[in-house]
Amino acid sequence: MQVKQYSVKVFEVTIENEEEFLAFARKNSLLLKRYLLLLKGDVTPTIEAFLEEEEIAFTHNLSLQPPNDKPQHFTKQSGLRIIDQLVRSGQEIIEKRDLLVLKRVNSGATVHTDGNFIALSSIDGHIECNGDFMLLKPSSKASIIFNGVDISEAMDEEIFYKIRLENNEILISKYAKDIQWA
Amino acid sequence: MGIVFAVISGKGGVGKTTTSANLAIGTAIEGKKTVVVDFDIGQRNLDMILGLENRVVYDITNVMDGDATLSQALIKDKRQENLYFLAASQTKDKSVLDREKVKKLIDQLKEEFDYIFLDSPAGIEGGFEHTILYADNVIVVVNPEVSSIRDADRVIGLVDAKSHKAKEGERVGKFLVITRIDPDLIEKGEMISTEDILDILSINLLGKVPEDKRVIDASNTGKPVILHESSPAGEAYSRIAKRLCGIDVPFVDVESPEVRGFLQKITGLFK
Repeated sequence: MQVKQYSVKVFEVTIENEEEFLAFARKNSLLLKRYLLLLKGDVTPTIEAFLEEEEIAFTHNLSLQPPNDKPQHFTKQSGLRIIDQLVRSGQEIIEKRDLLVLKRVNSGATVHTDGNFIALSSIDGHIECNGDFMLLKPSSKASIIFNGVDISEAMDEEIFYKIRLENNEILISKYAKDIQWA
Repeated sequence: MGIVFAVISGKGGVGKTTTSANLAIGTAIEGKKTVVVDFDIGQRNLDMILGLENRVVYDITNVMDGDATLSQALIKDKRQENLYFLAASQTKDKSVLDREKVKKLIDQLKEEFDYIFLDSPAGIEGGFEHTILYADNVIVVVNPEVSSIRDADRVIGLVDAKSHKAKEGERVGKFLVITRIDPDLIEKGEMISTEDILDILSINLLGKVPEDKRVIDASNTGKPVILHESSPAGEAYSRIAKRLCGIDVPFVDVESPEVRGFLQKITGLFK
């Protein structure tokens, strides 16, 4: 036996009027095909036939509980924080948003972000990023933790690396030998 | 109004006191009325390096506590017309320093002197904080070696966070002096190059001082290297002191062994 877990996006539609629903479904059939429809109200045979013909997946007996506290990705503040100063030894930056660091992160400095992280200069310090994406140039002294995993060892050259989190897998790739920013 | 330079490093033993003593002598030679103050309370040694240990009667704590006036405590150097020295207390510890008293002392010194050098204790505790509190500029002393550079990085960050000027939104001048540069080790790649140090610390370079055995002898005899003839370190300090006095002195390569040999030959000619 194999058990897999998926996260599915669901459209919840409350049907009040058959005509109105059919018009909506016809108009948006291409979009709706990509999601699961949770129908509430009176699902008439006409509607059922239409959805089956259009190959739109639907259900009407699914109990969804709205989460009590906000889901994780909503607790991240949106926006970007830009740090245009050297992060020196002994300094600690803690950020919930995405972070762009223009200057060096020196040995003995710590940067922690729940968002994505991009650093344009060398990293000698400690980075913890819980976002989905990083672009950085770590030196051999740097320690890089990405979503709880220490990936410092995987980057042994002092060049830019691109790190992505996709389907719970961490993908590390060399970005370029060196980026010419100017 | 005088200019206050705090000489700091974070790490101990990199050459703060040597740098303070030599730069104070150097600016005095250039005609600036200079005072050098030992802030390393409880562990003074600037008096020995300057060769003034037997002249100390009152120290900085006596002045701050009102037991002696500033003019009673200031020691006039016997070699340099313009140089004065204020000793640290050897019997007290750093806890005697207090914000208000430090401010009062520095204000007094600024009225009387052109250049004020404060020799900071190592570390980042109270003594260091009081040294940088009212500084206009800091001179950061590093060795081309990782732990010294990291500690310097830390103290630069603290200057930005804690000094009075920085809190008022003004800029504190930050200058770098690299000491104990060993050309042979740099050539072998065992010492960090000036470019890399500047890249890491990103403050202005004030000068580079080569390793020089005469520094130790100078401490023991109380005659700083800047007063020695044919001392590469002394010449480097003399160039730095001139730069502090607004004289444009080009940087000299003290990192290549050949150039060092060449310099020694030249200085040999004048012996």
